This record gives sequence, structure tokens and C-alpha cells, in this order.
Amino acid sequence: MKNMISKSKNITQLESQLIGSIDELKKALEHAQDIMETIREPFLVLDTKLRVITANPAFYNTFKVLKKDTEGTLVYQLGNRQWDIPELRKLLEKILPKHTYFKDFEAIHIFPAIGSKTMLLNARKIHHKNLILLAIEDITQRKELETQKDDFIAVASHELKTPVTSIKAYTQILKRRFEKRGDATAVQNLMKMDAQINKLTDIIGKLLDITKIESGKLVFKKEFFDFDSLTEEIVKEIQLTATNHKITVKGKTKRRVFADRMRIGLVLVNFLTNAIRYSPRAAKVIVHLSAGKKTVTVGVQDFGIGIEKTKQAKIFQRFFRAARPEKEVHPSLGLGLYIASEIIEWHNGKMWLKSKVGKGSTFYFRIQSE
Amino acid sequence: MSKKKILVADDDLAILDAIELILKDEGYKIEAVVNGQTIQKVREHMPDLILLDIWMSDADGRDICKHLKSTDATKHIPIIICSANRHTKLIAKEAGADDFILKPFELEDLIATVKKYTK
Repeated sequence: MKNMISKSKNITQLESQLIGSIDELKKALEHAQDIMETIREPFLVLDTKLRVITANPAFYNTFKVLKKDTEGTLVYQLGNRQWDIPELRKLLEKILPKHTYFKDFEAIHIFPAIGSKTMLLNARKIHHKNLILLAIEDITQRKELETQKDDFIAVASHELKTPVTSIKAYTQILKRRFEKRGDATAVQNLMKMDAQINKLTDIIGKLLDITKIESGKLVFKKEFFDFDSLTEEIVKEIQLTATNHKITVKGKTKRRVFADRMRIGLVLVNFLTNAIRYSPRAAKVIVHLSAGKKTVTVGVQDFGIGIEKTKQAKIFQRFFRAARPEKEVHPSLGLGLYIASEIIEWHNGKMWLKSKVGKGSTFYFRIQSE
Repeated sequence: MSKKKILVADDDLAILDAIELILKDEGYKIEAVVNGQTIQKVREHMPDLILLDIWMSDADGRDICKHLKSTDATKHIPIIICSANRHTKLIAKEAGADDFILKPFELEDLIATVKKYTK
């Protein structure tokens, strides 16, 4: 009898524990459900056979599908097979089983009901529950805005070049006339004006380059050229205007490279003008040339203010400037190194720097050679 | 010696005027075309050199260049294409232009290029 009572007590205990667990489970499910309903991005929970267990309201709203047609359906068969997207198949069937998750995969697809959409896909496999969580962010509008912004900058900078062309032409006409009359002050002022116009042209050109880089429209033209000759040419050009610095070239690569000559030249110009700009008290800049097995390396060394360690990683980012030059002779947008790094990256090259505050910096790039 | 004749086609009046001023100073006779009748004007004046803007609001400099370079009466006339976009250099070459000037230009570069084709 005693035994019976004890067993019954145990059962009652187990029962209340079970009820407690079920309650907790219900609460957890409700909690998960609340999270899913609150998330603004479309979200799917799939089983391992890729059937939809549940979807959140954002999914139904964005993709104009009904709950009854969604739950229990194979993800690819949703809404007249509109989700049968090759990229998604690859991600779910090939990448997810191996890596348990994938992050920020961009997929473009034309949906019959809502048109073309650019989506950012994120998924995670939850092993102990045999579930796959799939988050779909609709980034169509963001992408469109980015394109519009780039188009706007491209058009605006192109349009800006027209008045700049005539301003520059008239400045030079006036300069010539004053030269003939022997008015040295006017000539000097007009030369300053012309230099400012050149700076403006340079900024417009960089803005154009940026929009082209980001939309992948920048046209590179590869050709074979002698690397040392290009360096020499650029050094001569920069030396003409760098009256306070002596630029010395140390070493030779004795190599030909197959690259975009004009743009590699731009990178060198950028390195050299930065070296001069950020070392107003130094008298020299050294260009180091060397060659590896099938590579050429350039290092442009200045003896200026240097760059703090924390800022070194950011230096190749768009609009970043480590410091304002001591004498702000040439204000800049901080685009030069960003463009330079994009150019080197396009050539499958490498760009880096070594720097010590107060001692100076050396900027390097390496590209392939013959 | 009679003055060499240069036809300048550009849809921007300020640029057109500036080029005219510069080249007149150098002793050239200028025919300015602003409204896209370049081909007719070339036939009419038979210039010694053509300075052609590539993107005009009502005409495409490339088409004009191709047309003039494939027409017997005008194919001998040197054409310099002007553009604010440096990538146009290749396009200019493909269109059959003899040379290319990037806008904004240095006055000396413009004069030197023009002189090269009007010796």
C-alpha cells in the first residue's frame, strides 16, 4: 500500500514537472513566435528536407503569399515555384550542409507578383533541432538608391567639367594677355587661380573614378611597359612642382609589367604627393624599387609626421585622412589612397605601409611582372 | 600666306568662345558651330582642321567623325576630338579621329596639338 502511495506521489510529481516543462516550452515557443512576428525582415524556418515549418508576417507581406500555401511546402515550390532560385539551391544544398551557416549572400530574382528583387540571404542550421533558419532581407531599394547616388555623382561631376573647362581656358587667355603687357602680379594671381582650377578638376576626376570603381565601370587598359621608366617619368613630373623635396630613386626592377600604365602611374603620383604633403619639414623623399621572382615592388618613403598604428588599418578607406597636413597647402578629400588601393587590387596586387609617428611612413605596392 | 581655317564644334558657347579667342590669337581663322550642323558646315567651309566635341546635346561627335572620315571629300581633314572623359580617347581613335584633347585642357597643349595638324 505504502509502495502504491509512493508511486502515485512520484507520478504526480512527474506530471507536475511535465506540465511545468510543457509550460516552459510553450513560453519559449511563444517567445520565439513573438520574435519572428516582430522582425521586419522576411524569415523562414525550414526542416532539413527544406520544407517550410513556419514563416513570419514580413515574409507573407513582402512576397505576397498565403500562410496556407506556405507551411509544409518545399521552399522551392512556394508560390508557383517562384523560390526555385539557382543561387538559393546552391546555398541550401551545397554550402549549408558543409558550413552550417551562410552570411550575406546577394541574390537577384524576378518574382511574378512583385518583380525584380535584390535579396540578402542569411541562414543557419540548428543541429539539435534539425531546423534551418533562413532570413531574407530585401535590399532592392537600398541598391537602387546606391545606384542613383552614384549616377548622380557621375552626372554632376561630368557636368561640372564643362564650366571648369571654360573657366580654365579664360584664365589662361587672361594670363597670356597680362604676360604680353608685362603685368607680373596679375600673371602670378592668374597662375594661382589656374592651380586651383586644376585642383578642382582633380577632385571631379576622383569623384568620377569612385563612382566608376564602385559600379565596376572603371575601364582598365592593360599594356606591357617598362616599370623603371614609368617610375622615372612620374618622379620627374612630381619633382617639377616639389621645390622643397629632393626625390631620389634607389634600386631598379629591370622588369616589364603587363598593367594599366596610366593608372599605375596614378598610384605612384598619389604616393609621391602624399609623401611630400605629409612631410613639409623634410627635404627628401626616397623611392625604393625592387623585384621578386615575378613581381615588382615600390616603396615611397617620407620623413614626415607618420601615422599612428590605430589609424593605419583605415588609411585605404574612402574619405579617410590620418591627419591634416601641417601646412594645409593642398586640402584633399582623402580619396587618393582609396582609389590607389582599388587600382592595385584590380591588378591582383598588394598595398601596405610601414609607419612610425614622428619618423615618417613608407607606402608600398607590389604587382606582378614578367 | 592665307590663314589656316579651323572648324570648332562644341555645344557649350563659353568653351567655343574661349577656343576661338585662343586660336584667333595664334593667327587661325575660326568657324564656330554650336548647333549641330557640323557636317554641312564642314562641306561649306572645307576647313584645314576640325576640333570636335564628342558629346553634344544634339549630335554625337563619334558619328560625325566616322561620317567625315568615310566621305571622300572630307576624309583628308584632320579631326581632333575633345572630351571631358579621358576614357573617350579610345572611342575617339575607333571613330577615326587623328588626335584627342582632354577637357579641361592646358592652353599650350591645345595650341601644340592644333599646330601639329596645320603645319
